[in-house]
Amino acid sequence: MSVADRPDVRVTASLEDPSHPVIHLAGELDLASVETTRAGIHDYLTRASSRVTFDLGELTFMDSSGIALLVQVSNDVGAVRLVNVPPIVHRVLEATGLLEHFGLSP
Amino acid sequence: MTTTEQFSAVDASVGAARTFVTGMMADAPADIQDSVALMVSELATNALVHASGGFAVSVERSDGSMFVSISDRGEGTPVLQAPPSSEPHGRGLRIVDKLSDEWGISPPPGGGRRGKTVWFRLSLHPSGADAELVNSGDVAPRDRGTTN
Repeated sequence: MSVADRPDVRVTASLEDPSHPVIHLAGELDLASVETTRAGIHDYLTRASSRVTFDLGELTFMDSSGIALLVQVSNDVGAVRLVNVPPIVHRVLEATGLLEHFGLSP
Repeated sequence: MTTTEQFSAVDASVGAARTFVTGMMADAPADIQDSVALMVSELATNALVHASGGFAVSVERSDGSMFVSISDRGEGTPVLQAPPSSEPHGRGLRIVDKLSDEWGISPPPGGGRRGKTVWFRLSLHPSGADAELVNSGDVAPRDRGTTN
């Protein structure tokens, strides 16, 4: 089976307030794309004071590789808020008991 | 009938395995496809991270359920963990445990010491809380989107 040779993830950010970046993730976040994503968000996080928001509206898939990244960011930065959470991401956060950790309601 | 596909030891195989399995259940409800995609992704990731070499995915679709197994040739057996919320890792099998109807781990056929198969089964029809949204027998569970 042929496989994509480039991770299918895109990172952009809104920096109206650089100390509180809003990072948009699009595409699929899994083992193949998590390191690209980690590198893509690094610069935004160095400017973040104590909170960061991820807009996941265009994320089509995320598994525990993405959860690991978000938990690490949460540990490093402080408060991580998730907005525009797609059903499949809500499902995996619910299955892992992490909805409240990211400020989401069941 | 069981369909099996081999995947090579590259990270992109995780997504390829998801596509392979969900491609066989395109008529299932979206939330059930999501659950299967998540579980396949976790087991494929485990196979790549903890084993050496690629893995095989077998899918058996019966009338009402999907049976999926992922086999690798690595040593060791995955363990169900309960990490605290600040721990980044250790949630793969937890996701399978939460989203499947049943799952298990089988030793390699032939009794070798290397390799294992992790499998799960999931009904294709909504159950529990999801079933309440399908409030009539006239509403086909395979109507994508009705439960979202």
